[in-house]
Amino acid sequence: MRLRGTYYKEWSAHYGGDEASFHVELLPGCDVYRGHFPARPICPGVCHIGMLKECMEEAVGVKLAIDTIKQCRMTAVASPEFCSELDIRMHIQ
Amino acid sequence: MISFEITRLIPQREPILMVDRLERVEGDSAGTLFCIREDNFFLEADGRLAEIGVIEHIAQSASALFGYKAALAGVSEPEVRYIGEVKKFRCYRCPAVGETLHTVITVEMEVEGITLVHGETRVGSELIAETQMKLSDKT
Repeated sequence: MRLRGTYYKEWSAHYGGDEASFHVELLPGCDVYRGHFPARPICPGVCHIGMLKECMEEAVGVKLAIDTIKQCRMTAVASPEFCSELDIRMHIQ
Repeated sequence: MISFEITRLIPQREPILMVDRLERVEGDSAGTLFCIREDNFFLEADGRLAEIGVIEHIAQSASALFGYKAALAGVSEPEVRYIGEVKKFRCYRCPAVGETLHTVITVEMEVEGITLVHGETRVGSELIAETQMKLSDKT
């Protein structure tokens, strides 16, 4: 499963040190929307977690595993129909 | 024995339908079953289900419980639930193609349309993941 190229496309990335930022575009043709949901494409929150993981892997240069999520809040519903671009900012501890 | 098909209980469809069956409901607790197949959307190159696939399975398991209660109350279409929060998620190992996930969902609290659940996912008797999660029917 690789979300980059199917669920999202990366437009820019800046990383080095503890901080990283990415600008991405959600891809409306992703197969996931066939089932989430029929006739009403809504971004699965877990795909955003997966997107964060892939961006972090790019920033640190190694494959990562999600061992623990202390807390992840989804604060708004997203869809490639009304929210096509996202900014991602992360602090690597 | 739950007679409802899973598609009657939750609105997700392929390729992101992550529960095969709601097996039992007892008060605020439910058990679901899901077989990891080769065409799963969340499969990694090594044949394991990604952690986010386990989280989605747990979320849909909770939705299946809510959908069951709604169906008994006469609601005709499964309702969309949104993950509001994932908390204290632990993944002890990623399950593999061919393995069957059994998840127990327990409703801990419900306040103003937001339901807090605890989910534990096992392969056989082995606990492979657990989490708290908040789900909401509102955007």
